[in-house]
Amino acid sequence: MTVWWLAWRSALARRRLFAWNVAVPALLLTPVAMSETAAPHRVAVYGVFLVFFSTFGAAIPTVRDARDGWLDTVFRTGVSRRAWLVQTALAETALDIVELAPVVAVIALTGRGSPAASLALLTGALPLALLFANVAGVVLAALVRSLAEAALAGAAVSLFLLHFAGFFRPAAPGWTRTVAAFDPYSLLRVALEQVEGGSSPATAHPWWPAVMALSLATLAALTAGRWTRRFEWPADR
Amino acid sequence: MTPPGAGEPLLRARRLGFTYPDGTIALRDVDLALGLGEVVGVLGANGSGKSTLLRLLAGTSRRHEGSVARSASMTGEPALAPDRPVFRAWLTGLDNATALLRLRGRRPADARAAAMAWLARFDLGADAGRRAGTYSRGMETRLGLAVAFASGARALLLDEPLAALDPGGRERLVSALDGLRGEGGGALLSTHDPGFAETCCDRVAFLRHGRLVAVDTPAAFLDALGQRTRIEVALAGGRPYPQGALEAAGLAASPGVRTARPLDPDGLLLEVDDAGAALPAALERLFGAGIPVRAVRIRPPDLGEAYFALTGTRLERAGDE
Repeated sequence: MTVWWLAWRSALARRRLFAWNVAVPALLLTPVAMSETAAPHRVAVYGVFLVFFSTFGAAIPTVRDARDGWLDTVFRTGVSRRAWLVQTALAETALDIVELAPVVAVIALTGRGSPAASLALLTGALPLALLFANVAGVVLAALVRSLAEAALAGAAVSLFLLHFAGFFRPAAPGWTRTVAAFDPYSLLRVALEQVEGGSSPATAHPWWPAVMALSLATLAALTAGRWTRRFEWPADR
Repeated sequence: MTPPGAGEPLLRARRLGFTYPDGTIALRDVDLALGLGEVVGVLGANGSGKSTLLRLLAGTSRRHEGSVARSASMTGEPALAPDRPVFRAWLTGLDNATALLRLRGRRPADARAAAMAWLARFDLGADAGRRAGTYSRGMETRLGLAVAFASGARALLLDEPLAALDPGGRERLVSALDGLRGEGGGALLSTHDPGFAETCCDRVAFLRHGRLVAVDTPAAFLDALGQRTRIEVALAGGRPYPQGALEAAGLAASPGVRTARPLDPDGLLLEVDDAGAALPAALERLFGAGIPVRAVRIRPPDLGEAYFALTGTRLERAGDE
């Protein structure tokens, strides 16, 4: 569990950054939560922010760590790439949850949904979405060559998945609805809508997004030995 | 006691080669072994392939040609101390060292104790609680060396460890290398310093333009140069054209001088049989030609000249060609 320990140690050593990561989401989302904005719009803002928070928060530091040689230093110790990915993703997800906890509490308290919906958001949909976003961020970092590309790719992939999850408009009948049923962020959308008191029914098969998110994360872990070579010396990024 | 290099080597490179993604050939057909209880120095100028060789031996890239074999008795990865080690700037030196040792599979308490002990050996005990981002370049080098030695790896790969070390750090490195030898471990280190390689290495390898030119003991290289004494003359006034001074004074024809050549940036190197006889005549010629002299040094031959003799390129210039 050294990678896990290292991630937490690093986060707690940078107290100012940690405070910013708590304050910025609260400053940006609290006015939205307190406003009279229509529930679907609020859900879209929450979804985009939460997913971007974890995707960028994973992709950008990973690109930086690969470029400055830290990941090469870590891999040279002989640590398993799979263990590195799993522990990094879990630690960063846990950190994201801690940092987002105040603003998620505000969202839950200002929503018009039931306490059960808020509990479902906090315990199920949000951790799952953040875990997937963290894994996606690390994988994207292996595919790009710069911080700018990481930000661009992270935004493009996240918006694509958020769109198909129905954050911006309900999925139309047909193939888009089928895609939405498997979209890893669908559960987050449903949970946020229920927190907001919306009438959106749950997805037809509520486990499918969870199975899809965990399957993709597992696939990333199983193949980590191959794609993490992009993080090795020499950097041909 | 087993002599250095005896038995199965800890690491053996066979026809090792590497080409960077942009097509630059960094290393070609290198055959080199690191034996038990042995310290091997790799000498070569910038761009000669020293760092690439060390990284390939450390196993940091799978995109190489040839092979690297490790001794069956070796458990774990060889430890590489890069010329510019990378640490978490916001963590303390002790936390960085502990984390890297834990990643190698050491138990937390054991890792922390080993990290502290080696930080102290490299004179970082008092600074162990400081953030690594506040360390000087020399302290970072010492932290990297401490991590490498504390790792428990039997084979250490040290990339230009002297580059930022002060004399105290150099002494500590020599002591640590002696300890490693005694425990049957081995180290392969790259350096620009022929003097260090001569005194601290059991064997020396010369690299030039990615190719291994020669490998032998320092004594063998020096014996091949003969016993002629060297006189180094530093010209005064920062003269940028030592070749011109050499020709103006006619030093090649000076009595007792066997060879004479310019020495960058503003010096001359004379090879003589008897310094006591040759030096006055050489100085007389220089003064006679109106060339002022700043300093004169008499010394035995060194590995830098052995490199020159074998490659036709001066060590201090080989990478700049």
